[in-house]
Amino acid sequence: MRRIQTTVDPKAPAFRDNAARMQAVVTDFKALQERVRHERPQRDIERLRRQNKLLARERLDLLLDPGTPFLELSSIAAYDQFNGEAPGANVISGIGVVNGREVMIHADDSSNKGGAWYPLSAPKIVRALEIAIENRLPVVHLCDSAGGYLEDLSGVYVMGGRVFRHQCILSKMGVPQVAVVLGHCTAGGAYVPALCEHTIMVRGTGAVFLGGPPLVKAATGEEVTVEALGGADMHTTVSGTADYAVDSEAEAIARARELIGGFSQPRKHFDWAEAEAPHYDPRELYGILPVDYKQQFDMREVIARMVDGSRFQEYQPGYGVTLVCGWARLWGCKVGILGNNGVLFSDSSLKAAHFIQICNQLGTPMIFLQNTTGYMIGRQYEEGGITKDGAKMLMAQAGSEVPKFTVVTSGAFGAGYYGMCGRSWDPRLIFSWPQAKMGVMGPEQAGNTLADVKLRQLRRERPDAGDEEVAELRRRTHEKSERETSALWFSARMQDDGVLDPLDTRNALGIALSCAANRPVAEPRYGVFRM
Amino acid sequence: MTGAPIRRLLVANRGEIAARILRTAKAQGIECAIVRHAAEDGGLAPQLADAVVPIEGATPVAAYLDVAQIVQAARRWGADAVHPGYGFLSESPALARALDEAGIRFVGPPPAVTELMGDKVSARRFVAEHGFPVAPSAIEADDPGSFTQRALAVGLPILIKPAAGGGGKGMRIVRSAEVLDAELAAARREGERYFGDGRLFVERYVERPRHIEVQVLGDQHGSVVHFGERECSVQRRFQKIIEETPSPALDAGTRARICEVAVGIARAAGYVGAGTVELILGADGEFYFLEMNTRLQVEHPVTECVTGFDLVAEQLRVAAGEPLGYSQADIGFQGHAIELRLCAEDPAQGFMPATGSLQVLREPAGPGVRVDSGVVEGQRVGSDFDSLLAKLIFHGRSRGQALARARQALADTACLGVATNLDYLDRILAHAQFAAGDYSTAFLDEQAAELGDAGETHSTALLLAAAALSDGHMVAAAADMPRLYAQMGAWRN
Amino acid sequence: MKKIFRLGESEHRCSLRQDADGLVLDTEDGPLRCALQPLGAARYCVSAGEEQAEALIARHDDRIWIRLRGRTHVIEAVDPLDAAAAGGHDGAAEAPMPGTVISVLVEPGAEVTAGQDLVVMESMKLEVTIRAPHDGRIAAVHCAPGDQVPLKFTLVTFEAAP
Repeated sequence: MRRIQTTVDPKAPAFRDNAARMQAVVTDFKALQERVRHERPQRDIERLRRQNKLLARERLDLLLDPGTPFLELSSIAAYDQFNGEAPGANVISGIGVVNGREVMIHADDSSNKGGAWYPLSAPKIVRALEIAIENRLPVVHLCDSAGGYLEDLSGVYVMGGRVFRHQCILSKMGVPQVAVVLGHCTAGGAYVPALCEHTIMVRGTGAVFLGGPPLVKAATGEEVTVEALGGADMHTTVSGTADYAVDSEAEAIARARELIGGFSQPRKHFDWAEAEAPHYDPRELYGILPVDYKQQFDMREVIARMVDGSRFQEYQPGYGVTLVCGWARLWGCKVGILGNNGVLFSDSSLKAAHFIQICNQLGTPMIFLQNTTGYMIGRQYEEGGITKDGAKMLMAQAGSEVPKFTVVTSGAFGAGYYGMCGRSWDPRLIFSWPQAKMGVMGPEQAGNTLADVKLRQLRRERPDAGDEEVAELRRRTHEKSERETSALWFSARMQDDGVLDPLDTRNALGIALSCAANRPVAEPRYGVFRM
Repeated sequence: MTGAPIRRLLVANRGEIAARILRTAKAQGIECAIVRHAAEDGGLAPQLADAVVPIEGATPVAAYLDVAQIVQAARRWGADAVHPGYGFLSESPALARALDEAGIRFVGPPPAVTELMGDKVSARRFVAEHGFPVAPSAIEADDPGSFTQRALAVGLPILIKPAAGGGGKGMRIVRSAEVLDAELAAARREGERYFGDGRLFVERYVERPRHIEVQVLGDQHGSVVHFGERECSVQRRFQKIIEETPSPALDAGTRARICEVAVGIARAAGYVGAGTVELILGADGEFYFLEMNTRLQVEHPVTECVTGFDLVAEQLRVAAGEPLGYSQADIGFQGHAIELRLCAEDPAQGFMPATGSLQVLREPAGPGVRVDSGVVEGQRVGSDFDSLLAKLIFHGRSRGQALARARQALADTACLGVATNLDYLDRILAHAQFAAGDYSTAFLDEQAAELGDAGETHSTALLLAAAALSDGHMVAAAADMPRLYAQMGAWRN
Repeated sequence: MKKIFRLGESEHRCSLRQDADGLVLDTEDGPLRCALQPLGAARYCVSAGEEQAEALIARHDDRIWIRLRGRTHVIEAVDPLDAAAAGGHDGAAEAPMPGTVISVLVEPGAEVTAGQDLVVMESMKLEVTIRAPHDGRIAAVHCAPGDQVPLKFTLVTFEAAP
């Protein structure tokens, strides 16, 4: 594979300007992430300390192998909803290494509202389990949740059940799960440890029951203590609901580590070679990426700062040039990459459909680097069959069996988001960069369209509305549109697996590939391509 | 006793002293056997012997203390002499008598002398009667009823000793009258257990004393000579760990007087064979008779280094009835020698005996270095016997040279798999007071803090690396992880 | 794999990983690139960060004996789980050395004060009295006169403090 020849000039004013602006965006995002992770009411922290409990992230530190990475998923989920009461949806999920085994971790974060499950908590856990199923990852559940969010139980109910369903599926697949009960697992929450192959409970703080002591008292009049009703000793000596009773969180986690060390190491699929750092400095990504999604950049320059040795074997370099396709290695794993260099035309769509089929024939995982305003429109293109060619791309996507990974690097609009394997097309993982924009249309188009509709409404209702009022309406509509097409907005609503600093993308994809390699690739089978 | 040469020698001992005796005896063309209990890992000595005679007993120690069995072993193997080494039955008149009855020679003094010197009380009385200096004392057997009063009358501090004791067992210092009764009771218990004799005596305890001893040798024809003194004041728990000769504490005049006293005592007792007169030297230069050991002493090699004599060879000659054949004037002294006792014990835990297996053993070598070892690599070290593993002896033209050789040799020594005092010995040698020769039997206690390892800096990083990388499980586990995770390090998004 | 290494009074939590360039030991003071090359007969060349030295190494169970730069070091490797489990005890008197129990001076149920004699042990030439580490009531005596006990054997256990 040949090294990509860069044309980037780090001394150019445009590069410097981009770098400064991108750095500011990333800094803001990291500050937001920091707040979501660590900003907690003091009394909650004091309460946990009093209960001899560790913070969720302290538990993670004990659990993970030192000196190994942790890929956190959906770190800013729910940050702008529920009055900020559920930062990260009160759940931490991510992929890490425990005693040498790559595992999915679900940790309830009880430092806020007792770790209650808000309407986005169950979807976050469900998504983590989905990833575990797709990648055959053992799961560690660090259970410490007050239970369903009482103000919105209906929002929790249906998706909550899917957590348990996914647990059963994992077990059926032969993928083991370990529950460490560090707090109360009440009602539905009680099934999380019960459905795990291995369950550890901490004496004193850990408890598992369908109904807690107050509910029991209300229902039957029976008065019973937490320990007697569902404590570690009861469950490990009487009911058999749990396996090990321990005296401290540290011991519980050490025990979990020991158990996981006994899991067999999965065989890795795909084509792996010795990893090599990119030849070009990944920090140059900041200078390459315009913060304004409307400005074009060459996706090869991004690929050059992400793949091993910056080497790339380009497919059809002279055809369908608005889509860059080719092969590279990422953390040693051979991948097929599809990256947008502009709007999708018929030729680029056909190129994509063909490339996707080749990757499936070779069993090579695919990475989609999105930056597209969608498929070309206009009479000439409709006559040329742009719609049926886009449909071929989608059909190839749907028939594909190799793992797919998607990064929304800048703009992702219209059907282009689908064709380039948006969330709706089941990528194993999908990440966005913090300045990225996405939606049915671009924010300005969307803003203008909405403003026009609203203005017509306004004029109908109040024909005497002044220019100022009209301008204000336009401004507000545009603001809303800008906000609601941002990557942060999408990520906060669990529409991706997390926002990433562009510099973190190589590692995130490396981990994603390693996980995906746990499963063999099935034979692809396609539907009918409209020719 | 016949004057016939010894041809078949049974060594009724084990460890380094058995190996030591075997080497000299074999070099003289004597066929040698050694006794061994089935449960012990005998180490080096059985490998050196021509034959190994099994002995039995509930515990290995009991077997070595079983007179009848030792005599039977000697008879069965056809020994014409038995060397008892030190410890065990070396000072047992019973063994000497039983062997005599069996027509087998005992390499040691006649039983009458052993009996006289074996009982502390009678030995002191004998020495005092012959006009040699002894410390103020009180003897329980004189009048048991008034013993406590008489003990206090000696004047505090006092040292309690079992009348039948030796080797530091059962000795206790008493500095206040309140604890006297309790300490007497404890000492009596220990005396009963170790010696089958609970009788005690007390003597004035000399503060900051030095422990000086004189090597003597007598033949069956009335000649007695001395081989100079040994300084044995570096002690923990009343047991020596470093000995040297000449003593840095003695001037020529005192040395002459002490040696003269020792020879006088041996001569008065009709001493035959190798023996040691132990004395206490006060800070004021006064000295008292302490006891006489009627056997080869652990620390005899330092004397051999500076005199050039092989004391075991001399013992065998004397036992065979040969006259010494030389006079005091023929015994010269060359340079300085220091002995370090390498013991399986943990200085950080109050010198507790340690057990384990000698997985790695590296003994030092070089000019002026002698190693009297009884152990081999891989050997199991149990708690059945004394903790002494080997003696490291260093000889130089001066004390400084001997000391320098000792320090270099310790750096080249290694003993892994069981806790030893190796590093502790080096810290003693490095101590300014020891280097200056200015120490008493209280030295190790007084300098305990400085002799601990707290002040030493360790290469923690190297040690942790060695510990982790020699752990097969850890190394296997490190490799048993998708490689990318190790390469990524502690990355977080 | 995480392990705790006890070196004298100090404890070091360490874990080992392998990257493209070899082994990295993660310690509380940060990562340390390290290597251990066998030179035969228990000799090794050990390197950690910038430091390198020759050492003699012997292992027995969880004890690692290292002779390095003229000093002998004993490192005890502790599994974090064992360390956590050990924290749960309510105090006990352990044998400070391997040896024989001479006499037992207490019975189960006895109230003892800190420093009170519990057991007398002997290990060649040395008699040691094991004393109560703290005030309390004796829960059980695990030895009898004549017993041979190994190092750190639990001789006497105490009832949990109220």
